[in-house]
Amino acid sequence: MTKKTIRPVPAVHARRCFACAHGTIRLTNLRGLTLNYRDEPDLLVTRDIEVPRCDTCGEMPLKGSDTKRLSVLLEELRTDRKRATVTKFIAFAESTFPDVPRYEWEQAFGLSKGYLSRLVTTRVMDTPLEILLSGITASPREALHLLSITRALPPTLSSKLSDIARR
Amino acid sequence: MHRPSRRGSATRSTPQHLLTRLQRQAATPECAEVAYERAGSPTAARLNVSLGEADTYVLATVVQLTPSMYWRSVQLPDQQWYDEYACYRDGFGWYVKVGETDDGLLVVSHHGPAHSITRIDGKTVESVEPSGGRP
Repeated sequence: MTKKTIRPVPAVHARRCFACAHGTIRLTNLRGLTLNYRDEPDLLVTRDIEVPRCDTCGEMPLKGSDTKRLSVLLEELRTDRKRATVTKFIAFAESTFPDVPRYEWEQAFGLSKGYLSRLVTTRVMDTPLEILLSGITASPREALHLLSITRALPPTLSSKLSDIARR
Repeated sequence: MHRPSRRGSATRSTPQHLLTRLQRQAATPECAEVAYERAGSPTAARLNVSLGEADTYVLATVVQLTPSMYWRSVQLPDQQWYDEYACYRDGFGWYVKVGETDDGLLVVSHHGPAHSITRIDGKTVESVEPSGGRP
């Protein structure tokens, strides 16, 4: 063990990657790349942000200021994606099931009244609900059938599911 | 002691860095780097927190390590030696790979153990927590 003085991590310079044998870590703009972040796979970076990144394996050694900048951006992108999922679901539900009031959807999902609207504006939904809404939007018959196995659906929604099943 | 690991890289069974020095650097965020793919991101996903909170958690884990939590040391492709530790924190088992490069402290890994790890003190950190934590 050699004695060295503790000093702040210097400004980024190109250096050999610690994780893979071949790559070089250099400042890279992440715009256009996808990252796995929290519960969101393949989150597309849509804004400019430069951080040190290995050109081969993609590892990113981040120090405090880089972490803060990337964290803020990823949180915004994650929230945007979740809100887009809710917005898409609401548009789908209103066009495909115009007779089903929104509170019946909220009742079916075990949510309080007005919660879906709050998800569009202020709240960030959790992963299971995001998966459920995405599933219903992509394949309503199968997803609603699965939901009906676990709990009794509200009357209008239940009759609509029966209509879909008969088709 | 110097022997090749299963992945072909060299391992040693004694720490290659002074833990107290690593911990002083971890307590000073501008002296520390945390790898996104192997430490920051898996910690953020496991605890369901933001990347900033995850990195703070990672560095706090390093500060809380004790010499008895040491497992082994490994040499990575950058030819630097990194010390590997295993511990339980907040009901989760954690595998931590940490070292010092020319640029300062580097936390290479901080995530759940891929397999059970028996530390230098003889205690085992399991890959699946008895508390039933998230994978």
